[in-house]
Amino acid sequence: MKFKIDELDVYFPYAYIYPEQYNYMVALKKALDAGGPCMLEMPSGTGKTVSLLSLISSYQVVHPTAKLIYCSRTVPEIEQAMEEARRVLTYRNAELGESAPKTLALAMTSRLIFSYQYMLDPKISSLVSSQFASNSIVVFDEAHNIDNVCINALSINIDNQTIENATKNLTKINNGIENLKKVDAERLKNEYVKLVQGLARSGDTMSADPLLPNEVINEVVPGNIRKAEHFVSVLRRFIDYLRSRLRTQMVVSESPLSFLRSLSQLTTISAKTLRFCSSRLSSLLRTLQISDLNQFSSISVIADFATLVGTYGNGFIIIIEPYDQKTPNQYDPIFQFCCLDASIGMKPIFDKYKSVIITSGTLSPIDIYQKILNFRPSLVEQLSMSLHRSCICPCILTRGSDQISVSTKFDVRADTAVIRNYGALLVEMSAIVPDGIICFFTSYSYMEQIVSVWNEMGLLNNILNNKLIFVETSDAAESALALQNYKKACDSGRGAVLLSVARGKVSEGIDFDNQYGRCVILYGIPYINTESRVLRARLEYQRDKYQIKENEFLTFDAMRTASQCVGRVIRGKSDYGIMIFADKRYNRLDKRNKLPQWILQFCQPQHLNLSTDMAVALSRAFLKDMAQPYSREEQLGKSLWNLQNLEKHQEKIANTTNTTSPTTLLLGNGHANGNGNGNLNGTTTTTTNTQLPK
Amino acid sequence: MDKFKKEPGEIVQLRAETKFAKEAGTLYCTNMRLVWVQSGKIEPSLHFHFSEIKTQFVSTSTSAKALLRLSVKDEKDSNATQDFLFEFSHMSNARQDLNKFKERIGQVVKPPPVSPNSPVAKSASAVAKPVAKPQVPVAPPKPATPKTFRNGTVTEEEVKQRVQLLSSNMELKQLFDSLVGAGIISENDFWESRKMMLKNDGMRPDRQHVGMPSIILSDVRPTSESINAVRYRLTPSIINQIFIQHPSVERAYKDNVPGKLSEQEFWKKYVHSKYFYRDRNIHNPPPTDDLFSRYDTNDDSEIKLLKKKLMDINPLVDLSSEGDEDNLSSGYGVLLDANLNPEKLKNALPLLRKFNRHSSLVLGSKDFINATDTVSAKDKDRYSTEQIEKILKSNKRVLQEHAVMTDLEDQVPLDFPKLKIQDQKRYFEGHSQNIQREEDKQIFIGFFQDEFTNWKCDFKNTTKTNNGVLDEIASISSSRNDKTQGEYQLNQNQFKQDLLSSFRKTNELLRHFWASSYTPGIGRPPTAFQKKKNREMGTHIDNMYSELENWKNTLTKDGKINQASLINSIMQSLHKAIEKRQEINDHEIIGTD
Repeated sequence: MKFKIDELDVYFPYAYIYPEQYNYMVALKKALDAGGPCMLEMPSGTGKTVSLLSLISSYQVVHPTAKLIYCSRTVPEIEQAMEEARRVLTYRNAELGESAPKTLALAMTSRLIFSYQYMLDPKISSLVSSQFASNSIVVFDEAHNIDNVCINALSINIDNQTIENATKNLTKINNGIENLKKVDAERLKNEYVKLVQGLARSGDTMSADPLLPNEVINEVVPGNIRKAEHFVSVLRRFIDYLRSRLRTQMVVSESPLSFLRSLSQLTTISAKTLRFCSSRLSSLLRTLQISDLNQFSSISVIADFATLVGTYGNGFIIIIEPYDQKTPNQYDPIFQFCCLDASIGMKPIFDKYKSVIITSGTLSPIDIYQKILNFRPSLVEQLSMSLHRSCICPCILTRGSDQISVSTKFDVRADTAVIRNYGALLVEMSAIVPDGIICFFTSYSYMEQIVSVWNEMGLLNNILNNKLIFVETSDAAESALALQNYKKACDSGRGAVLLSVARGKVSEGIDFDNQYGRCVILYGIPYINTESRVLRARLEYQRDKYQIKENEFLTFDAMRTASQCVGRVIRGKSDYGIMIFADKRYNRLDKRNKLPQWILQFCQPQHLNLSTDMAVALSRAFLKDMAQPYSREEQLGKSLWNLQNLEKHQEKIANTTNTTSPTTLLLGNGHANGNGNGNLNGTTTTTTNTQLPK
Repeated sequence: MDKFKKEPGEIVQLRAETKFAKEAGTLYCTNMRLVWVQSGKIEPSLHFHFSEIKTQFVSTSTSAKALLRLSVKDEKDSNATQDFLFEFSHMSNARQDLNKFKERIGQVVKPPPVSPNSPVAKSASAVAKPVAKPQVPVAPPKPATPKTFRNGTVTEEEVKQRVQLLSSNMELKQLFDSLVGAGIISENDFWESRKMMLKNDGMRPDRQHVGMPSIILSDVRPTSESINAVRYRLTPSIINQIFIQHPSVERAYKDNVPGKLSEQEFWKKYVHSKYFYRDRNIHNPPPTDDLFSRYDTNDDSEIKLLKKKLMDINPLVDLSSEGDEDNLSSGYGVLLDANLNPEKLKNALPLLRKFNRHSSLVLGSKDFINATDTVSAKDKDRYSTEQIEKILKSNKRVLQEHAVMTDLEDQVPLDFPKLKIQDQKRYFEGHSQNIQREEDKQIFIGFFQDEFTNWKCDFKNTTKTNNGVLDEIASISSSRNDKTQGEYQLNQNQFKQDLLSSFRKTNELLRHFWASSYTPGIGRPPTAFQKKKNREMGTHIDNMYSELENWKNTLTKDGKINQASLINSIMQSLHKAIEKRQEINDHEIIGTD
């Protein structure tokens, strides 16, 4: 269909549209017009990507220079987005008809879809993103983990293996230089001349590194590393120093500044020299015409570390651990250079691009993202789900049928009563839920523990009476096969249970739509393990700099993981699913409220504080309800629009805005408003929180 | 002497010079198979396992040549057979050779009831076919009808099907017993009219198979135990289960049977060391001579991770492609939670893997077995370029389908389950004679399609409104609890059973009667056999009629008029046949006069 949003023709490749898709596009349009970063949360499975792509592709008809940079988390997700983009463009160009051809070529080339790392990782983004104009539209889809991506991209860890390989690499490079001197000394000289003129002109791809401050790029490469041999010897000294630091017997934690100070005392290498190492190395490797860069990954890691430690004084920490926490007797030292501040990675992007759109199914609570990424969005929108029937059945399960409370809290998680109750829950659900059930455990080790206890109790055989069992193992390929078979079992009607891990690969990237996921059981709150020193350092940093309490952040992180897990089961409005949160702590308001609005809207009082038998009864009633025929006519106008509905809605909005009514704001403040059956038509309960940029 | 490539453990028992397809060679009979080797060659030119041989035919002792013809199951289609003709060519004792082979093949192919001397027969009857044959009278003593020669053409397959059909269909079994068992109708006639049924049930390729049970077999338990003997029954499905759960047993089986051990010996050993797995838990070193201990060690080495990229996998579940490189190992990223590092948790892997393995085998997908077997094999070598292209194409299609939101599409595709109709005649033939024109058909189809798609079922409301009606009916029926009431209700009682069985019996008789019926003087003159059959059927119908009449009279005497009236309709249909028979009789009497 084709419709207008404030004079903009929008080409949407379907005959029907969900109200939230329309609202999403309206918000997106507003954000693009206003410029600046924006955050949009939309219920997962309601066609976020297609709305996004069709609005932006329509926007490009009017603003042909604005390019879209679409980033998503994983390769399969990007492949899916590509497929959707193809549909959207085909439709748009068919609609445009005669005027299309010109924009067709533009449209096809103006789109680049790539993985997050490519945008946030300085090492790669320097190669790719420098070519984009600053009026490009940057979209981070599935961005609920964007802070972790930023941090991972800027953190480096070095162990003895890396050091050894890097030393070997250096020897190879040295040989290469010697050979080149004999064969073609001219080339080395040219490089030297270029470096004298400044790094900016040493290679085309270097021109606009988004992450390094401009002064670094424009600065002239320091004299002591301009000559290839000199640079190699600097690197060698640096590696020797790292090796000596790794030879420690106790845990060391120090700031980058103190590291630099002791480094310059011992080796006289200055921070300024270090800053250029990464680009100097790539320049050298280019000069030596080395094609297989993978071989030199270890030395690249060292050079990247040098550049980062030389550039950033704040927001990083160095932790050297002689023993692995898991195996405290085995001496295996590791040197970790950790980024503590996710905003460092995002800052260049916010600075450079006019429009940055951060979107996901789960961005709640939205304010914490603003804190940890340190930005003020020009627009924040959280859409709830408009529905003709309640297709989600959340169950906050606090106790088993024997009234013993269940939790994965550290002190009770190994309790036999808890494990038995957890098992009984799965046995009973497997008897009443059709097709697929997915279970998420808080960690691999907990899953393994619980599964072996269930096995001893004979509970797993009871489950096998009802459904087949599949398990996500630590092996990706094997898990993929298990998943494929899981889907096969759901298709064939035999039904299956998938045991999986929150934060695992399954919980992040796989859709369990329709029969593949009728019920998801979340065993416990997926808190991250707080014993990690790196995490502790990050928590402290965030507390000092952004006033985020440790607990607040940990709960936020656990709840976003939880909502990611349960959000896997819904795709589209004809889909339905039960979400069981099996931990008594979910019943507390401070945890529950961190779930996204579109899940909370179904969380009625009768869904809270359930025991296993109550949850089973509730699910049974829910499934019976969902099994009733569901026709399009019933949804039309409420949770599904055709063009007439959409235009009617636009008229209505136009009339209300004339009278400047504050109703939307009022409704938006009622957070967990008791959406009774009459109010399920949630188009008006959108929470808007619009801030105009200063 | 016996120069040909043997399978492990193969022993030559008989040999004879033969010609096959005019080529000279030697025919061997070993303990496993028949092998024919062309002279001067080592590779067997032909070989059949005993299980493949269906029948043998030998030339008569008076004929000039000593010939042996073997019907062998076709490799591709197990129902079809292929014939091979061997000519025994020894100068003096070709005939003796032939007889020896004939005897030997006869022993093997059709195992005599008890032949403890033959090892093959023993293992085959004890283990390979442990499922007891359903105790159904397959072929009761056949009445001497002129058509008995047809029995020769009944294949083993057909007999099996008949048995299966009878055991699954009680009504049919009753009918079979009362008619064929009593010799009223010959067995062949009985099945002749049920060819469709056999075809529908047994031969249909799309017949739904009963899959494996989801449950894991926890232990093999003896079926009976006495003081000094323990009896086990291992069916193929139990054996399969054992293999699934204990891959080491499967390996041992593959390596040892039938070369070193017979199948029965192997399983004997298996149950002997049944406690082997239990012993493992309490750190009891297994006896060194144990057959399975050698194979068990391989299980542990199998717990290496299958780190590789999968080719033939649905892109929507392909976890292995995610994140093109491992961040941590390459030196970037932070490890926030050591518990999430899968490399360090391999303890419970065998247990977890057991479930995946079991479940995938229940589903019948082979990838798990293959995956673990061919880890070492280069993945790319397993696929040709065409295959890869095909996989990529199908992956693309999967992605495309996934990208479409069907809820928003203009037309929602109707995805109703496929209707399976066993007997199409019942639905599509009969009253539709009037609709001859194509347009009419189209209109009707459109009309039904329309009705079908727009039909709404409203369970909630219908039950509410209907409840009233149902209550009303219930109240009426319960209030009228007098004597006559019991008569109307055809509860599951003896009367109903008798009535239905005589109804079915009548139908069967009538069917055969009318099938063999004829009107003298009109149409093709009946064959002698047809006449005879018709006459016989007539007699049976007469008997049936009087039988029913008696029954009816006793019922009337007891005052059960309503029950008696139910028999009327059956008697009426019999009466028609009797009239017809009378007509024929009259005509024939006149004709002979």
